[in-house]
Amino acid sequence: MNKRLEMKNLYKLDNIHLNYHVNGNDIKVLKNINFVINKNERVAIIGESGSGKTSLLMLMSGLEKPTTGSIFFNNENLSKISEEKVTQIRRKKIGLIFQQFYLLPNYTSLENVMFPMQINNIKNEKKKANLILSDIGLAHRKNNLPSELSGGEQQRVAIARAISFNPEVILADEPTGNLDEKNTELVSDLLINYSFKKKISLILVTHNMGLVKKCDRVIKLFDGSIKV
Amino acid sequence: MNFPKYFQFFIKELNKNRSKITKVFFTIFVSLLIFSSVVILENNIEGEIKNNSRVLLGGDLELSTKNEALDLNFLNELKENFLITEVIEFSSIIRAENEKNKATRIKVIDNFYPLVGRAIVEPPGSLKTLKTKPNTILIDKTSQKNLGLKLGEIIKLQNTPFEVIGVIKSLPDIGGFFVFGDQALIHKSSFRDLKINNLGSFVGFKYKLVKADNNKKLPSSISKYKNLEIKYPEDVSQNLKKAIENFIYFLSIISASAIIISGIGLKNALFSFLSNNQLKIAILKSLGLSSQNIKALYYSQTLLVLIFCSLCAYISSLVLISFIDQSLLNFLKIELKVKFRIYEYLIIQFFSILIFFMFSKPVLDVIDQIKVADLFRNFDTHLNLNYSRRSILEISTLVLIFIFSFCILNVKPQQTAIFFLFFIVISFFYFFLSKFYIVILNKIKNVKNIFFKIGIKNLRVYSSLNSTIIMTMGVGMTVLFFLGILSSNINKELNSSIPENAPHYFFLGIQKNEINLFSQQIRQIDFQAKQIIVPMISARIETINNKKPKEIIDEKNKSFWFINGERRISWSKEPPSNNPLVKGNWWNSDQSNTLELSLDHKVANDLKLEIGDSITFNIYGNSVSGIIKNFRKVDYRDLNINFAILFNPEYASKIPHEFMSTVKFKNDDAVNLGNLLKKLPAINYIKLSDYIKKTKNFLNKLLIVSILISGLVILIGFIVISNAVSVIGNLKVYQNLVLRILGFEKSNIMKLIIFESLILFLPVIISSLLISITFSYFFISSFFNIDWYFNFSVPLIISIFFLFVLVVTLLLSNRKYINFNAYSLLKNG
Repeated sequence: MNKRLEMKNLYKLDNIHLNYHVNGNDIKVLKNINFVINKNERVAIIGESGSGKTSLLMLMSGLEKPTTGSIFFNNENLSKISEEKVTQIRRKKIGLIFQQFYLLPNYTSLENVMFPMQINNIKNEKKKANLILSDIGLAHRKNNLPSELSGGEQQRVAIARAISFNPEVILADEPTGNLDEKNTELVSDLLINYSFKKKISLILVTHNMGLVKKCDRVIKLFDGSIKV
Repeated sequence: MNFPKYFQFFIKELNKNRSKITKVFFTIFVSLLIFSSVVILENNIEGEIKNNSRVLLGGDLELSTKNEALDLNFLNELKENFLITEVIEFSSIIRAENEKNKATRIKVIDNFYPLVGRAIVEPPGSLKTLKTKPNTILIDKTSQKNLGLKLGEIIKLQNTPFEVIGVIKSLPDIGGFFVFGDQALIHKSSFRDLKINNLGSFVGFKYKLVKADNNKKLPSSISKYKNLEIKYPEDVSQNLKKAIENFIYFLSIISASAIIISGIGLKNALFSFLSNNQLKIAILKSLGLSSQNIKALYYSQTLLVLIFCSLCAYISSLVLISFIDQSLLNFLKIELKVKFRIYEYLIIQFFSILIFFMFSKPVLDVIDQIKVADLFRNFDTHLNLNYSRRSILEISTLVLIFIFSFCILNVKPQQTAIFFLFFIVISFFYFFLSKFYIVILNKIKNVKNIFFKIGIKNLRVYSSLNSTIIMTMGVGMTVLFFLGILSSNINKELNSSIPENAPHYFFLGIQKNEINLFSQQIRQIDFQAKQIIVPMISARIETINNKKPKEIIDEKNKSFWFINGERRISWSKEPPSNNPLVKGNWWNSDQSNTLELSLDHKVANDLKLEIGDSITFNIYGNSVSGIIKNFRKVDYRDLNINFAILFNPEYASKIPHEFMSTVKFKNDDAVNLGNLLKKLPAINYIKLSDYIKKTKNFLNKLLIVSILISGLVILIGFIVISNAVSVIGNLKVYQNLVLRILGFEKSNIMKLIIFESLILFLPVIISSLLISITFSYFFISSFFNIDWYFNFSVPLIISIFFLFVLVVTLLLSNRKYINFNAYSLLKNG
């Protein structure tokens, strides 16, 4: 029974602590974080600014290592394996979405969406990218550079880029934080729908309660700890 | 914004940008330091020579003759309008009682010496004693030390005893001679007892004249005296200037390179600064500052840095020059009196500001491209260096002013202009090369490999910046290779001035009946000594193809020396082994009725002489004409016996002559010439090994100076190139951070950087090497008049060093996303 449960686990965070050493002082960013996230689950992480939400997401994406504790992704301890291995996992299995979009500035929408497929050696990347862009209603903007798109369009391209290579999980950091109401709705629906449609787990940090309600579970952070 | 508020803002900004300013300050400072030092040295040396030329000559003019005194009647005629002092110079051996001896140039003076300047002797009254007490001598410090002499001791000159009454510290009228030799002073009354009549003594009679009043001129009867040579103070300064012209020119080229490199550096630093501060500039604009306000802010900041930099560089140069070893210049009797001269400082300031406007104006114009709209879009604009017609016109005018001003201040204006022309041509070449790159890159399509794809995309996207980098790299590397090759050529020339197989001694004034005794004496000293004895006469060229040589040959001709003054001439049955025949045939040794000539082919080329041309010589008062039979390649630098003119032996041997000899001993240090000089007291010698030692010492110092200065310029060149490379590195930080987050491994990013660098830099290195080789060949053989040589290790060392700098720069500018957490960097800006 336990083994079957473990097979369903996507993430397991075990007694995680994260400290930053700034100007001679230790700042405790995360304290004793323990939780499990299952495959195909949609989890919202909420909390006040400075409560450690983004730091938690950074740990889960392997961009940061915890001070103590272990983060298991598909039973692999991200805090113990090499940086190269973590990069490979991120490249193949984790899609990232940011509040500031972070599209490649010199690449068109199409090229941005194609890029993760190219580095993952996925064939017919152009065709697939075109399909995704049509799906999100941006086929007519495929040859535009990010600087020529609106904020909502940029975030939709970022989502298209994140799902283009069929990752196991999407980690989104305040994906609607920079968007208006209409675009917030559009982007929220896109994320949730894709998560269901492609059976991709979704872990998002957000202040948007509408989006929170669409998730299966909520993890609330307060001053670096999980508030029950 | 009113002025006080603006000033407050200006100071605050300056303070905030201090780390960036410090970075660019070093390059500009070092370049201006080199430039200031060269300007100070050049001005001081020229000024000193000009001011001292009358003293260096010893009068308002000098008349000189060889081997015979001036006609007494003429001398009396001169005395009506001039104050005159007669100085007779000859070379001889002085022998101490301890049998130590030394070849010395003896100056015979009269009671009026010196007319101009001061002779500094010790004890102070000894010059006066010399003029009153017969058979006394003043020797220089080196001779005193080498011969172990004390005041009051007796030395022998041509077997005549002289009492040493003092030591010469300095004499005013060096006239460009006595560069390395030792000297002694005796009085005219003592000279009469000496038997100085042989050719080897090279007796020169010099008459230093000071005008009784400014209107006095030389009498017309002077034209009767054909063997008379007249020198003016400007001739002395010209000769001295010529002696150091190449070195000063070399320094000027280096300093020009240095300030151009610093200009490029300033341009790159500004471009990098503006690229990294786009957001800030956009915010300032959004808050109501206009582009003009912001430009004025950066213009004034940069100008302030330049003014401070120029002042620091100039003051540091003054300090540096006052501390350097001045023995390099002591031989010219030049004592550098460095002091702050507002004129010199303004020159430095003028050039630094000119360079700033030439290079930085188009960069600061990009401020116009930064828009407040960028803040809404959350994206930076790609800044492009666009040269409008107006800015091209402005830059061209500034370039012309720069070149014109630099050239007229330089010792060789035309050559300097050609150097700048080379700079402009290569700048255009690299500009077109960068455009050609884009054309080629745009033609590359359907690339599958991800590295090539991203690499080519990056090169295309950053094409404007890559253009700048290619130009910086190209011009920088070409100048560095050029300087390296130039420096290695100068160094080789300096080194090869000291030949390995040079003899140790030159013996002069050997009479025909003394040859056997001389050879025997040399064998006694060292059985294995290598000696060469050749006959020698002295002659003056009267006509060339029946025309007076000075009427057809210009003073600026490289071989003017050949027709000016007396020539030593020898003869030989066979072509000398060290002088291969290059044109014509060697003579038939039985031919005795006609005089045949063999000439140095370089001289013949310069004077446009052909085989079959005739030259008439004045030999001991008789005119003798000869026909040119052949040309030889003569390398005077091997310091063996080399004559520009050889006669056919059957004819020449009938002319009264004496002999000279070179000797190379097995162990020069153990040689004692005491016995030889006792038996052959009239023989004179020059110890070449002493001369070589002194020359070597002098040249080594020059070598160190040239290596140090060019090395320093090459170093700042690297810093500038490295800054240019880091500009592009910094601009790609954001893109590479995103690539890292998307799962692009560290190693892949490194591969990408290397790929892009290779595509960008390999053709630049190859072109710069080819251009610098071609240009250095042209430049060195035409302007430095030395044989060009190419040492592959020089560009190889520069290339390796450059690659090292490149890799380190790229690693440093990319370290942010290679070793640190990528997302936190993005998140925190």
